[in-house]
Amino acid sequence: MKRHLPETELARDERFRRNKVEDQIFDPRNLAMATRDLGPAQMSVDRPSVSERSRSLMHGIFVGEIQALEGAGRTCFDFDDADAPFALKLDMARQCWDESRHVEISCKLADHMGTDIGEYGESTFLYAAACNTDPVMRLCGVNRALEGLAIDVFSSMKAFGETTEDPILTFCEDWMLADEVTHVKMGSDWMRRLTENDLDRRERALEFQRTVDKVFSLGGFRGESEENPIQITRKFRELAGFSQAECDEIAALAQQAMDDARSMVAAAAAAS
Amino acid sequence: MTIITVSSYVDCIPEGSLSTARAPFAPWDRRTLPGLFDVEESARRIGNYRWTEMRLFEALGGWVATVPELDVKMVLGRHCYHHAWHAELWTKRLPELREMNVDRMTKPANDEMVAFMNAISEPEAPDQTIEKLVGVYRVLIPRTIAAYTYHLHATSPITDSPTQRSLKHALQDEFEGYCDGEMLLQSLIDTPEKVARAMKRQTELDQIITAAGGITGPGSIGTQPETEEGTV
Amino acid sequence: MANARGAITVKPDPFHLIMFDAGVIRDLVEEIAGSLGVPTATNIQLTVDEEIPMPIVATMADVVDGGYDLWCTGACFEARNKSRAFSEAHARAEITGMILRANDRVSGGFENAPADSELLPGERIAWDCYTMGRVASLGHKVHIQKRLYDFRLQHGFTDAADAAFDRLWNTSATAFEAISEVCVETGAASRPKPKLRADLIRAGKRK
Repeated sequence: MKRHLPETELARDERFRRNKVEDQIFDPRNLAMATRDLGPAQMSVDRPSVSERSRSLMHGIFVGEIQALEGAGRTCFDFDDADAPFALKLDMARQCWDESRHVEISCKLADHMGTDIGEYGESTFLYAAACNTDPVMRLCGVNRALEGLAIDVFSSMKAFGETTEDPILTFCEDWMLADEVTHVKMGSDWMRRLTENDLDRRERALEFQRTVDKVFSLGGFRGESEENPIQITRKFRELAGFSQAECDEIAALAQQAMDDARSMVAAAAAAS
Repeated sequence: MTIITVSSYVDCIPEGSLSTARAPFAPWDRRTLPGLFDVEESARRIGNYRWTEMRLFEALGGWVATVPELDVKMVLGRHCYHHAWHAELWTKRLPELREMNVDRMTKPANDEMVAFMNAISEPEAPDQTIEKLVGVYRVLIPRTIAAYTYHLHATSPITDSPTQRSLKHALQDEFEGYCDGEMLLQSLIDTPEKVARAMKRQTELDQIITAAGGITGPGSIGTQPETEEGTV
Repeated sequence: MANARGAITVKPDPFHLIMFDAGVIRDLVEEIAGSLGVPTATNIQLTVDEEIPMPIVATMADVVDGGYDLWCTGACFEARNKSRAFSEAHARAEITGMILRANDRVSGGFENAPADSELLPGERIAWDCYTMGRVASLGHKVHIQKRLYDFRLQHGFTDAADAAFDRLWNTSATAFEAISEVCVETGAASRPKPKLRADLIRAGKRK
C-alpha cells in the first residue's frame, strides 16, 4: 500500500455519489439565491424546509465523519516514526476509533431523521485537507480547523435538537461534541509540541489552518449572526484550547468569507 | 522452594486465637514461582509484539480509506486503535524490564517477519478487501493469539505478573477482533471463487510466517521437547 | 405552455437554471391529474421556482377561481445526489401530493381550510402527513421515517404525536377539522406563531 492516498482514490460503495466542486461553485442559481430574501439561514422549526435542511446537513455530517475516519487512519500510516512519533499516531488511532463511532452514530441519526446512505452527494474537500504531506500541517488543517468546524456543527445541531425537543438528536450530538473537543485539543497540543523548536513551521501551519478555516466558512455557512446556519461556538472552542484571540480570528475569517461571497455576487450581478 | 499447602495454611492459625496472621498464599492460590522466561527473554518477545502491533495498527489505519464496505471501514477504524493501544501497553512494559530505550527493543523477530508484515499490508485496491482481511484475521491475529497465550502460560505468574495482565487485556481484544474479522470474511466470501481467493491468500501468507517461526520467531509458541528414543 | 386539454400550464418554460424540461413536467401533471380524477375543465398552473436549490423544499397548493394554483421550489423535483438534475420519482410524488391537496380543497373536507400561506406549521405538516400517506398507498416509494420526522418536528417527539401520525397516515379520508384537533391533541396548536410568513420563500422578495 502506498503512502499518501489522494482523495480521488477514496473507496466507496455504489450508493455514494461524489459532488463536483465546480458544479457547486458554478451553479447558476448561486447568484439568484444570494439576492433573495428567504429569511434567516439558521435552522428553525418554523421554516418550511427545516426537515430537509436538517436531513441534508446530517448526511453531510455522516460523510464528513467517514472522511475524518479516513484522514486519521492515513495519518497512522503515511508517516515514518521520525516524522510522526508513536504517541501522535496513538492519538490518531484513538481518533480513528472515535470517528468510527461517529459514523455509526450518524448512520443511526440518519435513520432517525429519515434519510438514506447516498441520498445526497458527497463532497470530499474535508479529506483533501487531510492529504498534506507535513504532519503538522495536517494536524492544523484537520484537528484544529475541521474538527473545530465539527464543534460548531455539532453544537448547532445540539441546539436544534434542544429547540425541537428531539431527545435522540440532542443526546447524540452532545456525545460527539465531547469527542470533538478532545480532538481539537489533541491537535493544538501536538502542533505546539512538534513545532516547539521551529517557529517558522508553526507559523506556516497556522497559516494553512487559516486558509482551511476560511474555506470552511463557505461564504457564510458559518459565523456568529442569524444569517449563518452554523454558529461559531466559543465556549467549546476555549475548552479545546483555543484562546479568545484565536476565536476572534476565526469569527473575523468567517465574516471575511461572507463579505467576499457578497462582493463576488455583487460583481457578478453588475456584470450580468 | 517451599510450597504452601492447604494444611500449612490452616496450621498457621492457632486454634481459638484472634490472630490475624495468615499464610502469604491463600489455599486457592496455586501460582508457582518459576517461569520459562528470564527478564531478557520476556523483553525480547515484548519488543517483537510492539513492532508487530505497530505495523498492524498503521496498516489498518491506512486501509480504512481503501475499503468501500462501510461496515469493514468502521471495524478497521476501531481495531486500529485496539492494536495501537496494545503497542502502548508494550511501550510501558519495556522500561520495566530494564530496557529504557524502547525503540531499541522494538524490532521484528527476523527478516521473514519483516517480509510477512510487508506482504500483509501490500493490498491497496478497493476490490481487495478479502485479501486485506484474510491476512490480518486468518493469519496474523491467530498467530498473535497463539504467541500471547504461550507467553501468558509460560512466564512466571509472580515475577512477570504485569506482563500477564497486559497480555490478558490484549488477548481479550484479539479474541473479539478475531471474531469481528472472521464474521466479516464469512459474509464477504460468498462464492467458490472467493473461497479460492481467500485460501490462496492465506496459504501465501502462512508460508511466510511459518518461515518466520511466528511473531517472535522460532519458539513463538514454545518448542516440543525432544523425546529420547529407547527409554524403557 | 398550454396543451389541447386547455388547462395545464407549467412555468417557467423553458427552464434556464436547472436541467428540467417543462414539457416533461406538464405531461406528468396531465397524467397524474387524470389518474386522480381532476375534471378536464380544471385549469392547473404549476410554477416551479427554479432559483431555489436543495435542500429548500417547499410546495403550495391553492385553489383560485376553481383552478389549481400549484407552486414548488425546484428543489422538490431535484435529484438529491446530483445538483440541478431532474428526478422523475420525486416529481411524480410531489405533483401527486400537490394535486391531492388541491382536490381536498375542492371537495375533500378542506373546503374551508386557510390558504397555504395562512396555515400554521403544525396544520400544514399534519395535512402533508395525510397527503403523503395517500401518495404511498398509490404506489409511490414514500420514505415513511422521513415523514414521521417531519411530523415530529412540528408535533413533538412523543407517543401522542406518533399515534396521531399513524392515524393520519393510514386514513383514506379526513377533514380540516380533524387536522385542527390533532394540533390541539399534540400541543402544536399552542406553539408560538412563526415570526415569518409561510410564503416568504414564494414571495421571492429581493434583498
